[in-house]
Amino acid sequence: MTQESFDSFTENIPAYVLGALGWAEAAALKAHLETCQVCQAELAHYQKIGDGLARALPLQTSPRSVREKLLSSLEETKTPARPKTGWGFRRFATGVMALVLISTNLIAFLQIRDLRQQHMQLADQVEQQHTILGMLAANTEIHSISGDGFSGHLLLDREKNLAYLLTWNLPPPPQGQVYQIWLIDPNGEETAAALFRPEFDRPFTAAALLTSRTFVEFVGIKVTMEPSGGSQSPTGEPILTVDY
Amino acid sequence: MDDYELISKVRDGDQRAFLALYDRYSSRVYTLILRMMNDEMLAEEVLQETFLRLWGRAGQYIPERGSPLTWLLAVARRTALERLRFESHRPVLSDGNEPSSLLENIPEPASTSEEARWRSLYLAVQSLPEEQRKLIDLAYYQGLSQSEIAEMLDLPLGTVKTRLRAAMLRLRHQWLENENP
Repeated sequence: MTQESFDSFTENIPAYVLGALGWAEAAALKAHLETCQVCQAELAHYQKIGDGLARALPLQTSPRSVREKLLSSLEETKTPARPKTGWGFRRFATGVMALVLISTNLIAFLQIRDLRQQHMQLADQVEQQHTILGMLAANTEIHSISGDGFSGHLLLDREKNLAYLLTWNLPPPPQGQVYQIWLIDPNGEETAAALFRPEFDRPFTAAALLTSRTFVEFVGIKVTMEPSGGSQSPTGEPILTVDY
Repeated sequence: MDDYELISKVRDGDQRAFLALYDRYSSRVYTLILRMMNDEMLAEEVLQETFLRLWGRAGQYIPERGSPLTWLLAVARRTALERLRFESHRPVLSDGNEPSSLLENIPEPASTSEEARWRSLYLAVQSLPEEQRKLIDLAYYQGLSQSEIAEMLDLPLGTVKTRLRAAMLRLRHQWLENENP
């Protein structure tokens, strides 16, 4: 790894702690943190500030009503609504209705929560796809890739300094390994640019390449299989290469 | 009973332990949520959802990763950010002036060493230049990325990155290094 790319990871740590990095930068830094002890120590310092920001606010008293609502929802979920012997039909029916309403509310709450999570995931995917679509303009170079059972393209916009690797049918790596993309400069020196892992049920994969330099300083890319978290320099055989 | 024992009992379905944690920390959690949502009704809903998550997911708490309060605040922040994004509810930018009544609520340093720590961090944040404090606010409390902040404030992305880094570095020097000289 070059000093420049190391510096870019270090510089991103404060924004990472604040949750202000874009998804691609955050994923690259997270992968880097798994292997870099210097950055782990740096993260530990800033993490104290991140945790502290959650507490360093003038205290406001929580509303009493929330405690009461929580208490009643705990009672509802913990107490089985069984009709006792001697209850009249009306009371029994009211109990059943209440149970149905509580169950409906609980199911609706869980569904809304799941929908929110799906919404977040979809928003990430849409952001990624918008970037890719935005790159399909006249200025974007498209380099084709083909290999053993897979194919794909490298999208490169030198002007906007954006690059994406799109692959189709690239098999998922074995457990504990990931694919790592390397940028190659004219001297043959390799710089880590991204980690990615295709899913079993998704033949299409898109990976954003990241560098603190400009893509015009490099002449190509290659992809190797590396241990989870990535390596500082390639250890595996090239799975694909692209000269641009 | 300490927090670790309480959360262990919550994991086993103990309602009294759950309420004890609520009574101990709901105001601290609500303070963070209210700061983020900038709306009392939404903040109450998020507070309720946060504690329902505590009730349902206490088994996911890992002591090695921090105290129960740290975990609870992380759950609260995540829940609030999800809600902010879902609602596309973006509070207006703070003008940076804190009402004096809020400042009166900050515990005195003599009350406990923990409270004094947070007071000193709060003061360190308040002493940041306005342009830096606003970025901390937008990033941490409103959940905006650096790109979103640049777009919102009509600033170059590089300027946002530099200011955010400078703000965190200044907090590190002013607060963290005073704590551990």
